[in-house]
Amino acid sequence: MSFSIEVINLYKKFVERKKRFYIFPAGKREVVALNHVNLRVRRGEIFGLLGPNGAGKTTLIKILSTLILPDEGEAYVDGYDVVREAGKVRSRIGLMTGGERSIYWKLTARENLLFFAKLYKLNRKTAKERVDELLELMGLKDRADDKVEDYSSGMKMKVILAKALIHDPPILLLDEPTLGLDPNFAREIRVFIKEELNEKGGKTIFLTTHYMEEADMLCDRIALIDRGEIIRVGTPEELKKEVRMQSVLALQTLEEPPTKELESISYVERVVSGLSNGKYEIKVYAKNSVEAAREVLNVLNSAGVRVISFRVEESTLEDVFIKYTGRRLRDGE
Amino acid sequence: MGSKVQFRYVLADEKPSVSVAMSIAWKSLKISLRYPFNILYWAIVPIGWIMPAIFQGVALAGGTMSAEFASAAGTPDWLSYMVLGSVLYMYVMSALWGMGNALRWEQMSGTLESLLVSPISRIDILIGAALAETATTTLTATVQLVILLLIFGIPFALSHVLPFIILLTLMLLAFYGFAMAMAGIVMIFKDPDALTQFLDTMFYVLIPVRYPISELPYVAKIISLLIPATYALTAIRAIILLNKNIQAVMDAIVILCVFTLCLWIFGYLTFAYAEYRTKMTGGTGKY
Repeated sequence: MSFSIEVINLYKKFVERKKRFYIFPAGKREVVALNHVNLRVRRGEIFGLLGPNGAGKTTLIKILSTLILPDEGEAYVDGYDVVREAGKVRSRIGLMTGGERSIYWKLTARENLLFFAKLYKLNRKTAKERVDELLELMGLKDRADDKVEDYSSGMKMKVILAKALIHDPPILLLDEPTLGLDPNFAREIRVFIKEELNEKGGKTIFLTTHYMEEADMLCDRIALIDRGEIIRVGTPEELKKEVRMQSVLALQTLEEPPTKELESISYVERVVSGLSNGKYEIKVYAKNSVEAAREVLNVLNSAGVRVISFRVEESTLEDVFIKYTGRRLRDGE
Repeated sequence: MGSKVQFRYVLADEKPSVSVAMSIAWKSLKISLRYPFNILYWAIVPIGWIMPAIFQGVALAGGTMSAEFASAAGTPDWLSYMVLGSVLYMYVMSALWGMGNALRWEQMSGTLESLLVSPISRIDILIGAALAETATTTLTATVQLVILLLIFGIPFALSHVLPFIILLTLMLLAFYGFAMAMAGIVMIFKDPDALTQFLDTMFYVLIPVRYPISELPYVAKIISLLIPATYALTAIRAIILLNKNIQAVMDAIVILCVFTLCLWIFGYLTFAYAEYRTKMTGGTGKY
C-alpha cells in the first residue's frame, strides 16, 4: 500500500538559550519535541494527531510542510522527501494553520486568493475560475471584494481554508483548524472538512487537535501524542475499546480528594484529579462501576470530602489518553 | 534524507519566476496604498530631508556654485552634486532594507509561513519585496528631482536618462545581493533597527553622498571603494554634471557587474543559511 504521509523515526529537539539581563548567556534548556516518531497515513483518510499543547503536534505538521527541519529521521509526503524534495512537497500540500493571520487583512478575499493562486503557478484564467469556485464553496461570494479585516473570525478562517485549497492539493495539513472558533462555526468547519474535502474531494487530511470531540467526529484514525512520543494509533473505536472494559466515574468535590486512598480500592485502576473553577474534578477508572462507586463514596465521606456531582460516563478518547499518560488532554495547557 | 539534515539539502531551490516576483511586489504595493498617508509621505516628506542642507549650503557658499568645491569634486555645482547624491542614497537604503523590512513585516503579520510553504523560489520573495520598495523610492525620487529641477535648475538632460538608468539598475542589483544577506540576518535576529541605523550612518559617511571621497581619511577612503554605490554615484555625476558619455564610465559599469555577481552569491548563500538555521531552530514564523 502506498501512503500519503510516512514518518520514520523522526526526531526533533529545540534548544532554548537563557539570558541573564537579556544579554549574557545563562545556560540552555533542551526540549525534545519529537522523540523518534513513526506514522503512516493512508491515501484518502482523515488522520488526527491528538494531544495536549506542547505535545509536538505543530512541530510534526511544520516538518511535514517543510517549515521546520528535523534533526534525525525521515518524512515523506506523497512519496517526496520533506528535506531533499521540499519544493515538490510544497506543491502537493495545502497548509492551514489555526491563527487568523496567515492571510493579508488589507486585501480582499478575492485579492488574497488570486495572489496565492499566482504563487502556486495557476494561469490567470484558471486562477479566476478556481477563486470563484472556492468563494462559492465557502459561501463568501457576496463579501469577496471586502477587505479581510472587516470579516468575522469564522469568515477569515474560511479564506484561510480556501487559500489552502487554491491549487487543489491531494493532501491537506490542518493545524488546530477550529482553534478559537465559536462552537457553531467549529461544527460547520468540521462538517465541511469531512463531507466536502474528504468524502467528496477525496483528499487525504492530516490534522492536529487537542479537542477529543473533533478527533472523534472527524478522524478515520487517530494517533495520541504526548511529550513528543506517539502513544497509540488506531480508529476512534479501537482506541475507546481499550478502556471500554473499565467504568469511568466522574465526580466533582469541594475539597481535595484523597487520591492515594482512592487508588488503594481494589476495583480502582487509576484516579485523575484536578482543580477547575474552584471545584475538584475527579475521574476514577474502575473494573466494576457499582462496587467501585460504593467504595469511592465511602472513602470520600470518611475523609470529609463533600461530593457535588457524581455520574458514570461513557469512555472517551480522553480516557484512552489518561490510561496511557496519567494526564488529561488539557493538562498541557 | 540521512540521519542528520545538512545545509546542502536546503540549498536546492525552485526556479525563479519574474511574474511571481512581480506579483509579490504588486501585492506589497497594494497593501501600502491601502494606507493613504503613505502616498503623502513618499511624495512630500523626502523634500524636507534635503532642503535644510541646501539652505545651509547656499548660506555658506553664497550661491549654488563654489570654486573650492570644484577643486575637490570636479564641478562647482555643489547643489546638483548633493541633490543627485541624496536621491541615489534613497535608492541605496531602499535596496538595502527593502527585503529585510518586508520579511520582517511578513513575519510580524503572520504571513511569512504562507509564503515559505508555497512552491516558489526564495529569490522571488526577496526580489518581489525589493521591487516594491524600489517602486516607492522611484516615486519619491521623481518628485524630489522634478521639484528641485524646477526650483534650482539641475542640469538633467534627456540624453542622461539611459546611462542614468543603466548605472542605477546595476547599483540596485549589486545592493540587492547585499540585501539578501541582510534579510537573512533579519530572519535570524528579527529586529533590524540597530543594524539599519548602523549601516545607514556608516554608508552616509563613507559613500560620496554630500562630498567626494577625496575628503575622507585614507582608511575611510579605502572602505568607501569597497561599496558599489561609490562607483555608481561617481559615474552618474560624471555623466550628468560633467557631460561625460557612457564609454567614459565603462570601468564603473564593469566594477558594478563584478560587485553584482559577488554580492549575489554571498547574499544568496547567507540567506539560504539563515533559512536553514531558522528552520532548524523552528524560528521561521516567530517574531
